[in-house]
Amino acid sequence: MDSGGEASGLERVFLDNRARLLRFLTARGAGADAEDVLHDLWQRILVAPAAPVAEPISYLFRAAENLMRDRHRSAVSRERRESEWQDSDGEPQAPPGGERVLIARERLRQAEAVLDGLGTRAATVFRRYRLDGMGQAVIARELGVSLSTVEKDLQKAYRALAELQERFDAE
Amino acid sequence: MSPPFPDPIREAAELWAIRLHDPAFDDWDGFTNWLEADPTHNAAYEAALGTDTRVAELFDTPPALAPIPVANPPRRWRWLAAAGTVAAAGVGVLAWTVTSSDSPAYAIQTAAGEHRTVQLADGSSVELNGSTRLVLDPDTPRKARLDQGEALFHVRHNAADPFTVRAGPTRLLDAGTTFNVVRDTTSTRVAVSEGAVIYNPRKEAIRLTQGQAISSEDGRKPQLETITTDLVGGWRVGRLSYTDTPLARIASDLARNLGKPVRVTAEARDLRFTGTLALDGSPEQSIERIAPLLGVRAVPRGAGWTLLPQDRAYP
Repeated sequence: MDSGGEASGLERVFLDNRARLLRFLTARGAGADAEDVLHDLWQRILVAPAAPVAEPISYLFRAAENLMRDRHRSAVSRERRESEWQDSDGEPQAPPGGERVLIARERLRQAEAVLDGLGTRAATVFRRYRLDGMGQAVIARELGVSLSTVEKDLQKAYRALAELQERFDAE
Repeated sequence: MSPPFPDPIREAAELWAIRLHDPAFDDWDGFTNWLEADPTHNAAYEAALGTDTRVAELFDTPPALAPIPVANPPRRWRWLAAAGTVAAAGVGVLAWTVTSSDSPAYAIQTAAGEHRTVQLADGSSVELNGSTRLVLDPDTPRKARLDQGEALFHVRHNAADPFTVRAGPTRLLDAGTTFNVVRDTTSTRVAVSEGAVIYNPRKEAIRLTQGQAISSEDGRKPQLETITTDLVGGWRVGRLSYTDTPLARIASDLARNLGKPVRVTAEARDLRFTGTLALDGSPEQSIERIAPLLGVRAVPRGAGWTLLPQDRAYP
């Protein structure tokens, strides 16, 4: 496909896919603010470096997704600030540094044990993906399994680790 | 915190979170269709993202116990040998006081304009730009602290013992990678040219992958940027690349790279520049060529220069 002039490549893709992006943002939690978020995205594209982008459509959706995550994050921390303001007396005391390190190490050890308890493949998939930063498709190829098997293994690992984290929170 | 979602929705949300986490994900229409199918889907997806962050925290710990000298002498010895090489190479190696540790940490300080590579015992290496201070501790060989300046880290990955870098209040957890870190007095910038880095694993837990950069003023929300990976660590060959970057930041980079003080007047601080600056020839030749590109004049002041807007006669 003709990229139609390098400087305006991404802008053109944006304009061609405006409706798709708007639909995505609306469904992704922006609701009636979707037009505003889309405008924010447009502003960012205008100042983005002119470096070629391999997958411009994915790049734009990814940028839109990140904007929604930022919005969600700031909404959550605003709520947290407000609730902390209300019960500022009840703030839990953080354990001293040395003890915190010991707790963290013990928790890491338990997390490793939970991973190992999932079976070799699921543990390997999780470590390769989350800690080594390998792509899911690459892991699937390396282990000779389907992409959906990799996804299911990751899901299994996340669930088990999330349960462990909940247990820690209850301690 | 999150309402309980029916199992099928929760499961689907988790799978979408996992798929989107992969940089290669491209089924955006499929994802949109799923979000539109039911108003609770987006909330379930947010909950799944929250889980992802919490799980990442489990692995953000000081994992390796400091090596016990008697049980593990070779590793320690190698490290000290490396430190010795650095000292012999003429870099200032200053003893650093630490409590509850039997080996002192070292601050490696480069002079203005000097470039230096430090080999670590685990096979990782760090390239230091001028006016940079990096603190290493033989007791914790997988940790480094960048107090000031700029460093390009080439980290040998070990999932069981991730490499961490501290720069002011910022923490970076390597996930197999090459990345550049700049620490100014009150701000940190990170750019990833290979692999991935987890930015502040306990707070924002932002996963920076190849081609991404982040900059943050201490205590403020970090700003994500997209960069060209070839340009990461460009300072090694005298190339500094910027996207809509304020002049105040560029001036601190110029000072570090030219080895001369570069100041900016208040009027010029917030001017912005996009492009690549080449540092060729003497500092004087470089600044003379660069100033017009930045839309400023460089006026000699003391040992260095002050940058002021082109239309101003005097600083």
